Amino acid sequence: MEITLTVNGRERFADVGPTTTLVELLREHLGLTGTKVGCGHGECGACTVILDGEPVNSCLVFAVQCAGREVLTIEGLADAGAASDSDGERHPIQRAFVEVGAVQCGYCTPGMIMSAYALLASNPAPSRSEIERAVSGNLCRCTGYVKIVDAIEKASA
Amino acid sequence: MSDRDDTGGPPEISSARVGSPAIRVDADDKSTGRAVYVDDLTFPGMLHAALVYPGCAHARLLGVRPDEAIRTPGVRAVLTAQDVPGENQVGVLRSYPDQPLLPHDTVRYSGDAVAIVVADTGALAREAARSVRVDLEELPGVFDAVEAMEPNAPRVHPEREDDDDRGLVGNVFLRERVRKGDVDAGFEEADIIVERTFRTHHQEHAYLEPLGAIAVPGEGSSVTVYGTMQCPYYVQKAVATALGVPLADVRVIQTVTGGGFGGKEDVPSEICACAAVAAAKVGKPVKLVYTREEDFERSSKRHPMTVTYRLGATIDGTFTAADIRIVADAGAYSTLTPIVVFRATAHATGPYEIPNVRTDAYGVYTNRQTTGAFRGFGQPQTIFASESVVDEIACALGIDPIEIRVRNGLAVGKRTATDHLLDESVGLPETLRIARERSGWDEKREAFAGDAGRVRRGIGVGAIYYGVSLGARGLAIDGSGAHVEIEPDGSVRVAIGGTEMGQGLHTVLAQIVSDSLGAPMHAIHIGHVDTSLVPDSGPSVASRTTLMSGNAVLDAVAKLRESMAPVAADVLGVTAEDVEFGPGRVGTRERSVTFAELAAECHARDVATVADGWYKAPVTTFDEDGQGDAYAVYSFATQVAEVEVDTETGAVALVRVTAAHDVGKVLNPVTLEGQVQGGVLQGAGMALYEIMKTEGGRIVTPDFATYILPTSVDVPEIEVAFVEEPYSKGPFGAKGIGETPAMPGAAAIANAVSHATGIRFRELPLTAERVKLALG
Repeated sequence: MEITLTVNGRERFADVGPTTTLVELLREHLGLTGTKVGCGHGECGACTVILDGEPVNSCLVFAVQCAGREVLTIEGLADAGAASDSDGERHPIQRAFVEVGAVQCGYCTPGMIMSAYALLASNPAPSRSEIERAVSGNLCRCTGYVKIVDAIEKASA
Repeated sequence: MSDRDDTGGPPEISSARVGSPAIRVDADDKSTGRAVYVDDLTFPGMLHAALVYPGCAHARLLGVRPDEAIRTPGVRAVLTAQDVPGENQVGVLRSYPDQPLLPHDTVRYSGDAVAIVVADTGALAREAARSVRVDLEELPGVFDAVEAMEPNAPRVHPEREDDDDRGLVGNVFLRERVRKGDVDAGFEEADIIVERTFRTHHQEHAYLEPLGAIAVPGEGSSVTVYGTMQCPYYVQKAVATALGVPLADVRVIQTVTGGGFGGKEDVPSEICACAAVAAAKVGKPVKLVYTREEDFERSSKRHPMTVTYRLGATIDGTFTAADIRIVADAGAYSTLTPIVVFRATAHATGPYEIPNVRTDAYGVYTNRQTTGAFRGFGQPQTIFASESVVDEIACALGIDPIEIRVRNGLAVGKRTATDHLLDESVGLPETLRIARERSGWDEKREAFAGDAGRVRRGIGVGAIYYGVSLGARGLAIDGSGAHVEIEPDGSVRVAIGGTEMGQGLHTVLAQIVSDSLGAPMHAIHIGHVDTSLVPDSGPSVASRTTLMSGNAVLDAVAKLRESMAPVAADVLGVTAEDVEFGPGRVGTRERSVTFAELAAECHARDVATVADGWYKAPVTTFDEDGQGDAYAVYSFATQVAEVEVDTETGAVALVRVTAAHDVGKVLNPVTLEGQVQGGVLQGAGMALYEIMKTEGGRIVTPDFATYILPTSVDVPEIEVAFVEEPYSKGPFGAKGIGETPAMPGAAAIANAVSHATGIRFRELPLTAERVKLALG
């Protein structure tokens, strides 16, 4: 079935099946492979994107549920940064992840950054424990999370 | 890696010298979604593969009936053992040819896939794979290594002949030993002897990126294989073996790799060989990516071990003898077990000088998932045993646990259990001192002992040593190559044989090139491994990659400096001997050119700006009695853990970890600290959370809802400290760090829980249930 939705500010059309998931739509139909699949069951958070302002595991959302709605992925994040603190190419959260050393293998990074974006959109100055809770659905096996939380703290400052 | 100039958006990558913080060269691509992992790649006409599983752990394979699957529209082929054109063997150690790529007569574990389905889409392939009928005659299985040693246990490999002389009988396929001094006399001297038995469990690597591969057929019998992996040269050999083609026909290109931790050492050979065999059959590119559940079934695990540890000491705490027995569960195939058991055997005493040592280790087949490399490589299990017994002896003698480690610990001039006389780079005493000081050990040890309420605090220590690189029983090549090429504009292309899997290798190598060649960081382009560019450089394992690839790069750089220095001298009017290569500039203090200017001048004068480098590790020895210089050099670490135990619920909270690591030389403090923090949490996972449950050999916790990893809310306060005892043969003095952060944690946490509760735990993990049952 054909659906229309907004992805990273652009209107997109796609012909999807009834069981096509949002992450399949993004990766396989639209070529947006920045969103990763780590488990396929909403347990690891690697596929986190923003749907109408809320973070979702895109492997748990059907594409047809997204008709007429707005999706933001890691590829569109830089443009979503406020003009005052974005350099036009990188969102402040992305810059903070790079500068602090929050990236290792990188597979959890896009989803982690999208969860951080959702947190800071609703709570611009979170405490450290609020940050830890906000990304507790995003698994990372490399970093021990310390520098990830550092980066989100830095981006919020 | 894309070029970055100063006008672009990404954070500037500084010209960081070795030892100063450098921003990761791959962080920008990874944080913008541009980094290309294997599942992000597609090729024209690409088909998708899925595997067919037996549904049980041990069975005679009577036949595979793919008729229904083949009739499904969109299904292109179904392959079984008969379709493997070359040799149907995939195990990494050629001296243990026990693992078929696709089993032909016997299924030995639940992940032992019997067929490959190729279809137009991944979903179609997986659905068709489920419709393939597998005719099996189930056999009794054995799922525990100690039970598998019983004379009447079901045999996993009945085709193997017993070797009574070497004690290789039944499911026991491997023995290693250490004999040093006179153990009986050593125990005679002892005033106290403690003997305990410990058990550890399977641990899953749980790298976030599942295993995946794409094989693309080329001209003639050639094939190019893309995949997520630590060891492209293993994959090259496995694919050539399975296809029956020369190594030169197989090109392996590592894609950006989403974590490894040992789990992507040998196992990628299986998935890559399956994809290659399928691609050869259908003549088109074939992608095979595991689901998370498949990854749990098909990937290797940390070996469960049963370790009996007997230690004797005199009244002043001097160790006199150790007698150690290790039983390692290899799972269905030998895979890397011989190398893991060698390492566990060589290091089994822990980092102590003990004059009399007897260690016997056994590798045993079971009908479980294969076990292999996982950060620490067989050592975290034996460390849990040795560090627990050392603690128990200290407490019994009334000696402080850190003090007893200092008294017996390795230092320059002391000898390891393999009788290796240590002559340099032994940072253990300093890691013990720093961990003690920074953790507030002395005060807390005393204060916590007085806790009497519901929540009791404890503090415990774990100390380790780790032989860097492959060591004497390593069977892969212990050399590494590099290729460095300077373009006329001063940009530098570096090809290496070691893999970046997330640990930060490319960044420290860029620092090494920048520091030693004079090119700025942003000009250095380091690619992922392509086996067609650099010769077999061995595996990226055993904390060896910075050492090996770093030295190979330095060898190439030395050659480039030799050819470029006279040009710089001529341009600047100085003598070649006075020319120095510093970050960004080349020349003397008074007169210098930029690296780009020198590169252009060399090209204009037809001076070679390309060089290959090679580094071979020093020779190591390990004789029949386990005596010799088993590894060239060792990394050392001490971690102190603080816990709070809720005596009502049994729940253990990890509050604080102090991690002191001797790395020889800190190359990049930021990435190094990140590696240690991650390792600390993996150690905590092994100690407290992670349990792989099985029924009849099948994993019943095959996902992250049931196999519990530490999350961001479980992170303790972590203080990381580095000790720099330089290694004379290391790049800038560096040794290895990859493995050690994950090694002492489980022992330190168990000792802390014992300090809090007064109860010794000898089986991991320390779940609330286990602790509560022990507390009564």
